[in-house]
Amino acid sequence: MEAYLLHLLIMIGIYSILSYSMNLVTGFGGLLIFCLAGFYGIGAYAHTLLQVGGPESQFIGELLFSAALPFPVALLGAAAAGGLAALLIGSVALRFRGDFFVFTTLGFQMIVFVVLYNWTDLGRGAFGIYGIPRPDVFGWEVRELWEYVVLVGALNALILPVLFLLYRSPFGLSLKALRENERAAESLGISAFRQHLSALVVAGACSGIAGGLFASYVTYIDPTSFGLKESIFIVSLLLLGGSGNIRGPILGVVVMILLPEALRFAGLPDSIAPNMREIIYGFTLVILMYWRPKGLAGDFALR
Amino acid sequence: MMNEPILTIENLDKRFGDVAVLRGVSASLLPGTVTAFVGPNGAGKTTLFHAITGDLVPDGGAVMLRGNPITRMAPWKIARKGLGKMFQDVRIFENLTAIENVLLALHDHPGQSAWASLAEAPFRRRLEPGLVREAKSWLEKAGVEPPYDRPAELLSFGNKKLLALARLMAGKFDLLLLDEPTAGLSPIMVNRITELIRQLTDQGITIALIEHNFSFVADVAERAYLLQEGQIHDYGPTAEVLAKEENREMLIGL
Ligand SMILES: Nc1ncnc2c1ncn2[C@@H]1O[C@H](COP(=O)(O)OP(=O)(O)OP(=O)(O)O)[C@@H](O)[C@H]1O
Ligand SMILES: [Mg+2]
Repeated sequence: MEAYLLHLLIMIGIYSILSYSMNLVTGFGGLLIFCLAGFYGIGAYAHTLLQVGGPESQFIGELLFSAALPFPVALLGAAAAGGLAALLIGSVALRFRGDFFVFTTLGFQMIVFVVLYNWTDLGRGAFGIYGIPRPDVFGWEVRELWEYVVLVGALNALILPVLFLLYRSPFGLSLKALRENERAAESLGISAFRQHLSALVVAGACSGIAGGLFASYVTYIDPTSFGLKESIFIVSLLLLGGSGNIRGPILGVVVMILLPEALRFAGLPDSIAPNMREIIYGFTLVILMYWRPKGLAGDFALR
Repeated sequence: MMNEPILTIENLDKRFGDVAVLRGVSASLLPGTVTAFVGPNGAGKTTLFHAITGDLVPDGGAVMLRGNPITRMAPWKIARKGLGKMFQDVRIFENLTAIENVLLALHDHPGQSAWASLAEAPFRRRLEPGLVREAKSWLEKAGVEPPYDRPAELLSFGNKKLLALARLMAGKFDLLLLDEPTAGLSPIMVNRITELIRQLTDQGITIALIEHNFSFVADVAERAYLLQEGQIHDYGPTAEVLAKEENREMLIGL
């Protein structure tokens, strides 16, 4: 039971990084994206490949690239990979506006999944990569669940303040202005392209770190954790909790992660529970969109 | 020379589908003056302003700011060259406060990069009060009705227009394009805007404005262009342009 609670805490920690990243782009910048799980997955794979190599690797001769770098370096690599992916997709998608932009991010998400799934030399495709080393942070060997809680908590304590500073900064204000009226913002000298691209890169890098954390926690990854469904789940965190501020995203994460558990405790049998969960997600979102387009605690209606 | 135009428009063409909305429009603005663009609804005045500010890409012709071409440049780049504008539909940021609206125009604030924002973060506590004070002083100068810390959507239409002007004043633009600044305003508000425009030109700021309110135009503008069906129909000192009988017929049907 205690282990179970710790596990939930770790997942809340990982998703809080994801939803606060998404919040910068969507809640402040007003850009709906369906590719955050892509950045998350790219971070997870980058981190993994940077860790599972070396002479004792189980995958010698199997992977196109792998290394045996220390955990902190691999995590930085995950951030770089996520940020780079965001730079790439942003440079293309930000040429479009509105629905076309959203569809481009959706397309990118699907490409990431297909590549991870089919390029077996890169990441073993559907077989996934197992045996991902547990973190070793400057001599601190993270093995117990509570140690993971501390690690994930520490990374939240590093990343979230940076994001919060950005929310409150002139940069964040310019994102809000772009969200409200792009033409008017540009008429004051604000470049929509640059500001949106920066927001995406920051979000991509932070999501990459979340991916690295996830990989080193579950020690096994395959592409199914980073598909479109996952991106939609992350969007729904913001839809539910609300965006454009600090309280919304975390509320969304806590509710969305605890809700299914609550349902299980409510006595739904395991054969029905997963389906019921999705039905209830669906209903919750529809009801919310109808009554509270800003989410439970948001400043900005995603519509 | 003082009389080098600050903005020159040469032979501007713009068509929407097969409708030619601007047909070889040429005009120039002299520094420190107010120039009016008048003409019937649909004459192409707003389109002309949009073609100058980069909001629309013209099909032909050129726009020069202080002798340098700005044709086809992105709107935000043109804005950074000192050209500010007020849209016909005002376009303040409704969900931001009046102060935030003005902050967005201050100094290097517009478009500050994420990195610069982070680098500046340790000093923000010290910088912010000064910036907020400056924003407030622009709001006061423009005569926007307080309080300033509520969403701007709560302001009356007239105050929204004043807020848009406060934003432009804070941005230190040296050339302003105002699309119907007095439309929908009470006489008292119109007087206030007249007063503000005088103050701005006293500081050497150049203004071009589109207007249907001819007594206002006669009050503030030295020169006027009469635009009709996408062409310059007449140009000269405002009083003369407004006095000509054929122009009056076109503008007010008299
Ligand atoms: N995006 C567009 N697509 C197609 N036609 C347009 C577009 N924008 C403007 N027009 C047309 O161009 C013509 C000129 O419009 P414009 O807005 O420039 O007129 P205006 O002189 O500003 O009129 P008003 O005094 O009513 O504001 C109008 O006939 C209008 O319908
Ligand atoms: Mg118009």
